[in-house]
Amino acid sequence: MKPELLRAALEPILLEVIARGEATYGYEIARAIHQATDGKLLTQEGTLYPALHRLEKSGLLKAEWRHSPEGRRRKHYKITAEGRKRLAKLRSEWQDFSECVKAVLGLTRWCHGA
Amino acid sequence: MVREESQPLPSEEQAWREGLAEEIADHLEQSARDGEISGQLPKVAKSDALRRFGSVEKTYFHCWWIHQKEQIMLSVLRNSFLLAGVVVLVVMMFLTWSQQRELTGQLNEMRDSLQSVAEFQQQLAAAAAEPPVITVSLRGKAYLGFPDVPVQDYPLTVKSRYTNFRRLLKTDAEGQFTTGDIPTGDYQLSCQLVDGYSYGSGYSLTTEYFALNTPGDTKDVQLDLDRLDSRVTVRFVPEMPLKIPTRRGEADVALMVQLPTIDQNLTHEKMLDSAGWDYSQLRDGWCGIRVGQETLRGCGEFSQQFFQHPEQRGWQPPRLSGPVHSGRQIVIMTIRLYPHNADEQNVRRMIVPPVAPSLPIGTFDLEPDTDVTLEIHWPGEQALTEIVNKPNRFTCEDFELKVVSREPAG
Repeated sequence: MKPELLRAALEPILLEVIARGEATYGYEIARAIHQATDGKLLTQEGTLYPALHRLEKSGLLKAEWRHSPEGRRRKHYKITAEGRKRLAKLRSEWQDFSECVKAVLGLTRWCHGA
Repeated sequence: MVREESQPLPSEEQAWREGLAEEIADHLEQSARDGEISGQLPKVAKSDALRRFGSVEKTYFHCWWIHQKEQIMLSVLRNSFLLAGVVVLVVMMFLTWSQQRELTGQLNEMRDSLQSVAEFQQQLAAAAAEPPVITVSLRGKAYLGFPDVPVQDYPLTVKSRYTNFRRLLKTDAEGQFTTGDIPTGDYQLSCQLVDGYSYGSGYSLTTEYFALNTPGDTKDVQLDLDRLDSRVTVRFVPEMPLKIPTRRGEADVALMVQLPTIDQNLTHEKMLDSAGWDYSQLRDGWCGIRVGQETLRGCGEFSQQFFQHPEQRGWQPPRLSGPVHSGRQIVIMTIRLYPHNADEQNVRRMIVPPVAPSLPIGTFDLEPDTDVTLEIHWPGEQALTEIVNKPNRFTCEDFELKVVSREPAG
């Protein structure tokens, strides 16, 4: 996957993964994305963290430190209300965008338009 | 951007950094453990975890940038404003300095101009308060008989006519004397006659007043003493112009005659030329004529002056008091001075060159009761114009002298 494509898609993916509650901390989020995409989307797991911090900085995610079973401190992320609104909007935009791209590329027959 | 290890970190930032390190370490540790669970060797599992994670430093830097971006941008913006302010301040300071320097230059120029004006005003005020003193000087030489026999320590007095100025002079070893710088004006030079000279002690010979009016000029006077012949001569050298004050101002021509002493006999007549005349054969008494300038205009009047014998009580130096036009023109003037009873054939004419400002015309030894005639002839005149024809018995009576002038032709 091209880094430019991943950079644009990473924000809704992270918000969606965290909103589902499937994963709440870095490595777990990386595993969830890896399994959902069969390892095709996230080739460099380190790229998650700048995106997580950016979302936290912008108030879409909220982080808190907890202790792992091994006793290590671990940072858990939780989506905020604002993050959910943002996710809804991104989901709609990405649906329109991907359908249009597919239509242009001949992968589907119609496009709703952005 | 990243603080050095030696510098103490703020607690919040330090906590953030430690949290980020823990977050990444937890990720790598779990990833490696999962690898080991799947059957990888620990070393391979760690290496594989690092490979899947990617560059730790890049991740760390990206997170740090996201965290510090606002502060960095704020700091850059603040520094930019500070820099712009400093630049504006420097520019303003330079402009102010430049303007101040220009103003200082203008102020200096104005101050110099003002000072020049003030000095000029002071000079004007000083000039208005004190009229300029124009000085002249009078110098001369006294000699005995011949110019090469100087008279030393001979007393002289120069006296101003209209002021109280009086200066005592004395000749030096060369017979020379000088008044030094004196103000312009009319002066009189007196020679004190001491024992052995001329008339003896108690007498003095005083010149008429002469004007010294040309600024910076030095006038020369020559004093000739002759002890053996009892002759005293004061002769002005040609460089000295003579101006006679009259009622109308100053005249440029004067005729002065001093009669001989009473006990001398008229033996001969002398004629002078422009080169001068030797008095050595004469006795006491002198006469002279002065033509002040080469060009004299306007004749037609005559003036007269009564002279007295020097030995007469109340004797005054000869002085022309009648009105004489200034600026007369005399080209050549012929003068005859002879005793009344002289043989006409022996009367000789004396030619006065026009450029001679001073010319002694003769000294006569006259017998008692002898009339003297002085004639002055203008050029072109055929007949002699008799100027003076009055008997003079040399008994200390007044002697009349007339000077006739005329308007020039054309």
